[in-house]
This record gives sequence, structure tokens and C-alpha cells, in this order.
Amino acid sequence: MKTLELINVKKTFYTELGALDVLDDISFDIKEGEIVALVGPSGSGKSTLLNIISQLLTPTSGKVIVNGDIGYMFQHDHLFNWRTVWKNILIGLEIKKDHDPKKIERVKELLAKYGLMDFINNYPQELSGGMRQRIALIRTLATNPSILLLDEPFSALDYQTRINVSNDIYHIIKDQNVSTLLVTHDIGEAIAMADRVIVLSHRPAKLKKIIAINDINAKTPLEKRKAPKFSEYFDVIWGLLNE
Amino acid sequence: MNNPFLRQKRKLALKVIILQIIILVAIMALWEIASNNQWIDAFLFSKPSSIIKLLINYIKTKEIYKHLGISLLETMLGLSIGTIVGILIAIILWWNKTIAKVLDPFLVVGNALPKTALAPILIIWVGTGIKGITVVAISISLILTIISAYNYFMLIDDEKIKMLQSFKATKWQILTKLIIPANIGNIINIIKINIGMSWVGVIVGEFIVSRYGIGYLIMYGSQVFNMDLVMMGVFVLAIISFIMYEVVNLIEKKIKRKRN
Repeated sequence: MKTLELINVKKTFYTELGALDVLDDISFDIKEGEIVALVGPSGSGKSTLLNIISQLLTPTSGKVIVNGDIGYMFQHDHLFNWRTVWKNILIGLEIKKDHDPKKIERVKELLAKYGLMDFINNYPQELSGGMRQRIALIRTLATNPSILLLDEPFSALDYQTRINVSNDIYHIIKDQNVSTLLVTHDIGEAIAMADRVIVLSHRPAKLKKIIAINDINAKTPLEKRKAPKFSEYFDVIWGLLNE
Repeated sequence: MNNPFLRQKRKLALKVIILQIIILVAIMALWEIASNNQWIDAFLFSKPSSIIKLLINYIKTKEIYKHLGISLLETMLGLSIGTIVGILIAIILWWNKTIAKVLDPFLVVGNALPKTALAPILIIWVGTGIKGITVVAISISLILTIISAYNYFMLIDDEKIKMLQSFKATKWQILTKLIIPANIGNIINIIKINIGMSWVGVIVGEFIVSRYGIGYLIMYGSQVFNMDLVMMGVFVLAIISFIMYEVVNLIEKKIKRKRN
């Protein structure tokens, strides 16, 4: 089943300088439980694409089909420092006025599983960047979205934390079997986490290639990074981005 | 307490307070001595002992309570109405960008205009007494409150708003769950500034027309060249505004402690 489908999406912005084509005929889909990474040169319209998928922008032409709810995770955790971790996590359910005890139970399970249960009464400013980003993910998952949009979610973290957190988040996503679109400019991260990598061209962004990461014999992002096939994929994507 | 960090911190705090008291006492003593030895003219400069004596007299006759009570009432009314209405208008501007754009030049001019120049007009329009003086106090704090609250509201990270929107938050939810709670500290700062602003309005208003109030005492004192009375008025004013400021500080600390 396709959770997300884009069909011939085009976006043109109109500014004082005239028309600016940002996205040109983008089509792809994401199946249930699949992680798809989106890489492209900076300014290639990745954020515009996310905004279109999350319905904050409408495409100039083309169609976006989303089956279910969208969860959005950003580069910064955007936890509110006047709310405890627990209240931060529940903000989505609070906004939707959703008091489903099953969802609250699931949040508790996630927290317990990732060793965050002891911190639910703390305030975010008392926690490390890595913990905060894990909490931000659980906040996003709390409303039980069927597709996750991750917008450079690790780029504010230091290298070591970044590797660890991306590993954890990979496991959370795969456990929950939620479809994911990961926008990143880190080629290694894209290969390590995704089932498929979409490479965009310079503006106006066209879909250059979709690369399936299917013959790396490894289970976790960390193991994938060590696999010999990893650098082959890296070279291919690097080549495409620098064409 | 055997925490050396806390001990050090407390020691420093104590030191600061002692030095502050020494400075205050030294200034008072110097003033008193200078006045007694006629280095300065006691008729023009008054002196602490006469000010205190006069104040005690005013307290004994209960005269001071009437003046203080009225000024305090006017200030509190000016402060609360100016702050609340100002923030409400700032919320409206945040809500509707068109209104914000339309009102922008008016606010800029209103802010640049010395509001004390409006005081006589306002008093003529609204009337004398508590009503007129309160309106003068409001006029001084209102526009500054609108401008600074609106600017604070607009400083909130767009991505935070986007995060809430990704949960399909309504504008009202964004306001109550993000904009207001994120700005509690700033609103308290606005209140602190408005304490001073409201007192300016009240004193100016009382200067223009009044029969009671601290401003009236100061004005009356200067007209009959009773500098003791003028100085007493200023002295009472200093103490009351300090107390009001400290009360707000205490509330601020309580909120911060609750959050941490």
C-alpha cells in the first residue's frame, strides 16, 4: 500500500523578479513502512517539497496523495521549555483533543523502550541534544501518523550524537512501521537509513534518479556504514549530485 | 548548607546589600551634614531629618494615606488597564497582519509623540479627578506596550508555529499554547516598565489638576516653596515604586521556579 504518492508535482513561485520554477515534474511514492531519503544540492527545493506534502503550500500543478496523517520533525527539536517532557510529548494529542488511552499507553511504551521514562517530569533544557531529539520524535509519533517527514533532523547534533541518534531513530521508525521521508544533505546518512534514495537536480529540481539501497547486507544504519557496498552507493550519489 | 558554591553566592549577595546600605546612609549623612553646616542652602535643598519629621507628621495625622491611596489607585488602574488593553491589541495585530500593517505608521507616530503633551487635552476631554488622571497614565504606557508586545510575539520562531500546524493547530491554539506562554517573561518585563510609565502619567496628571495625590503634594510644596514637602513626596514615590517593582520581581521568581 502506498502511504504517499506524488504525481507530476510542479511548483512555481511568483516574486518581484518574476516567476521562479522550483519543482519540475516530481513523481514518486512511499510504501508502508518504507524509509525514503531525499538528497539534492542546497536550494534545490527540498523544503518546498516537504511544505507541499504537509499541505502548508499547494502545488502549482500535479497531485499529492497522502493516506493518513502526517508527522513532521525538524532540524531543531522545538520542545517548549515551559512544559515538562511528558507535556511536550502530549502536545499533539492535546491539540487534536485526542484522549485515546491506547495512544497514551503507546507513548509510555516508546518512552520506556528508549530509556526516557525517568525524564518525563524533567524540563527539556535539562536534557542533552540527543535525548531532546528522541523526545521530539516520540512527540511526532504520539498522534500515530502514517507518514513521517524528517527535515534534516540530525544536522544540529554533533557527529557522535548524530550517529547514535540516527541509529535509535531508525529503530523506532522501523519498529512502528511508519513510512518516512527523510530530507538530508548528508549522503552517508541517506544510505545508512533509507530503503531508497531520491536524488534531485539543481533548481528547478527534477527527479534525477531513485536508487534502491537493497543489497547492503546489514541491519542497522551503523552496520550499513561499515559495509563495503556503502562506499559504492556513496560514489554513485556523489557523482549524481556533482554532475 | 555545606555547598561551597551556595555559600560563596550567599556571601556575595550579603556583601552587595551591605555596600548598598552604606552608600545610602553615606549620602543621607552627607546631605544632612552639608545642610546643617550651611554648605548647601537648607531652604532650597531641604535635609533628611526634616523630610522624615514631616513624613512622620503626615503619617500621624493620617493625611499621607489619603494622598498615597489615591495616587496608588490611579497608578494601579493605569498600569493594569494599559498593560491588559495593550497586550490585547498586540494579540489582535499578531492575529491579523493587515490590521498590523495599517496601524503601523499610527503606532510609530503615537510612540514618538511625547505623551505628556496630550495630558492637558485628555484631562479636558475625560474630566478631572481619578478618571482623567488614570487616562493620562494609560496613554503613556499603552502604545509602548502594544509595540513591544507585538514585536515579542513576532519573534517566535516560525518553525515552532509550523510544528504546531503539523498537528493541525488552530490560530487560537497557537496563541494560547505557544505565543503567550513563550512570552510570559517578556510580559513581566513590560509590566515592570509600565510601573514607571504609569507613575509618570499619574504625577503629570496630578500636576495639571488635582486636590489629592503625591503629585499634588509635590506641586503644592513647590508653589509654596516648602521643599521638605516636595522632597517627602519624591521620597514616598521612590519607596512605593520600589515596593511595586519588587512585588513583580517576586511574582516573576515564583513563575520561574514553577517552570524549573
